Amino acid sequence: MTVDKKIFLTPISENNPITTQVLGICSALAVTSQLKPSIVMGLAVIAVVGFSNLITSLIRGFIPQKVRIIVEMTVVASLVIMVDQILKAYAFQMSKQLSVFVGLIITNCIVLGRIEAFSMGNPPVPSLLDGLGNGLGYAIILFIVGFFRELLGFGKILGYQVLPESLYAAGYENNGLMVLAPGAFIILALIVWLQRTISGYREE
Amino acid sequence: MELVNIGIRAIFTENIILAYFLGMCSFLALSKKMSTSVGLGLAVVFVLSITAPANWIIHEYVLREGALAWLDPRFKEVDLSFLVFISFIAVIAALVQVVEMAIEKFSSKLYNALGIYLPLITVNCAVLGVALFMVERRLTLAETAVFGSCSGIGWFMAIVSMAAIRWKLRYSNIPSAMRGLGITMLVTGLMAMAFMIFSGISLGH
Amino acid sequence: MRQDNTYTLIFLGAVALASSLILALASQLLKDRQDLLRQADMKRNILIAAGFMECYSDAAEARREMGSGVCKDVHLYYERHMRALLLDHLGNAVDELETRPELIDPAREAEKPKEKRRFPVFLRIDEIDGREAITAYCVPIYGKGLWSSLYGYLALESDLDTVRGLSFYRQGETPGLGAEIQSRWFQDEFKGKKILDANGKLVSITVLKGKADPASPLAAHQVDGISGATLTTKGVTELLMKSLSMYEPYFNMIRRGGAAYDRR
Repeated sequence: MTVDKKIFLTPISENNPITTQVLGICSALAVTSQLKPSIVMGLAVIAVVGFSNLITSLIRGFIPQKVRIIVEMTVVASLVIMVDQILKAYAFQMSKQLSVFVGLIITNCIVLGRIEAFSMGNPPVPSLLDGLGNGLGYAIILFIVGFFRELLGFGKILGYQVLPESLYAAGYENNGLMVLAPGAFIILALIVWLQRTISGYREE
Repeated sequence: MELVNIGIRAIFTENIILAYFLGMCSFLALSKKMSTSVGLGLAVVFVLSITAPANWIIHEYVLREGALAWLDPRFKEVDLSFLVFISFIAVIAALVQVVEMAIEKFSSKLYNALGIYLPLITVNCAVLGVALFMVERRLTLAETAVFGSCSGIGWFMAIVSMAAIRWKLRYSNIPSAMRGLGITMLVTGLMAMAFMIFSGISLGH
Repeated sequence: MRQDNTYTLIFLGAVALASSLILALASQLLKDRQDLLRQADMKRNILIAAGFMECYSDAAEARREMGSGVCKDVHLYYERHMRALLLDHLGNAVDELETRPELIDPAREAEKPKEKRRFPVFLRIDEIDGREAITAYCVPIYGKGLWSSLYGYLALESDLDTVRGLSFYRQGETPGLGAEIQSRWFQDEFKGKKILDANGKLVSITVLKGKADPASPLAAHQVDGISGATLTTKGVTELLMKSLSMYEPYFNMIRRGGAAYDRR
């Protein structure tokens, strides 16, 4: 099963959807001002990409060429609605926080991107693995960005105060920029720089 | 006055890319050349101006709780709002398709400039995002029209500015691992900071 | 695989049908649980505003947010201590059995013509010296924030001037910034503030940009702002004034000595 293992693992580092493929950044950044919503969002995306890959791969032999995109979007949108409904029923507070952004998973380029690039031409199980791998690669980036933004912007992790009071007394102040839009962009830029330095991937 | 405020906010202080992070994929991928950026930006303005009000109508008269009451008073309890995501994206995809066909028919010149970008806009988070915000904030039709088109204008401004900056960056000595996505992200962050200057503006208060 | 139009249409139809059925099924199955959570959430927030901090202890809050959602005590406390009333726009109580005050959506009410609107009030009843007494009046507050609409409750002491508590149960503001209006520290700031000025006129509470000056004569009507969330907090200031003004007819009636509710 080494082929399948490779399918699952490459999107996590070398072929990371965000840093290498440049996909899915939109809905990622807004929820990452704290770690918890980042985690929930990451899990939601893993579920959606994985299952939409699986389902589209299963029906790939039957989809007429002309309506390919429409069918793909229907599958994705339905899955997203499911995720949203489940969140509302089992993690009510979180669903309130994530509201609009769960819906935006539909337009998350990763989902459609992987369907077109992989599951349309591959059997169900590898497609599922590819979906889960890409979702995980995305979730990891979200996790890192959320971790640093909450730590540097609030001094907290998952809502618990992590930076000690003594640090604040000594004059340390929370970095407000990290909580706002620019902070997310800058952290992401640094992550991309790091990841590409490690993996050796270069653009152009 | 409120409409003007909404418009100004949508373009500057609450810029759909720089404040809400929506529409990043095509923004990052296609801001390398000025001509493509202008073409894409205009297409986005156009699509947003049409789809926002269209989605408002669908939401108001079909989807939200009690919306179907105009069909039959007994439908007052019907709540189809769980179909919001799927209907909005369907409306957007359909309208974009129609627009593409119309442009192809009427002006092949315009089609060559814009046409190829239109399918891309269907999956542009900004378009769906604007529709979802409209629902969340319960905007009226007029407010939606302004919000939609001005968000588009804001997106256009951002991508054109980015193209201009990236053009200038051609000759900069950027570390190889930073080239492309890395530096673009950094520049976007700086642009977002710059746009925050506008947050003090508000008319008529 | 056929490519002709008939097949395409049939396939599309099948896909549309399959997805609508599955979604409708999921929505139906989950609806009850979602409603239960929503109701519990609203009741909890009414209780928090009215001063029941036991429903708001941090560890319990964390447990609830992690997933199970329903605080079993909520319904008990609520039944025991809160009495819900429905008012019309003139402040008179109306008796409409089909309408549950807790489930009234302020956004939908705002769209109705004035005479048709219904305003819920939640009275906290405690036993003092063997008699039932109203210790707090809790009203829903609603308005526009930055990204979303804000929904919450404000509770006033029996003098109908001092704030007993504030809570927000629904908002879609930026996590860490505007969303902090849901945090305990922000809501605690409102306790003890006054909504009426020296002449008895409604001035409501203003969320300032930055810190409030305790020496200022307006200090009793001001609270500290949240840095980075100016627009959200501006929305809060506006919605407080708007929501409270709608209850002035009822409150004025009580201040002048009228009965808060029919004790029959």
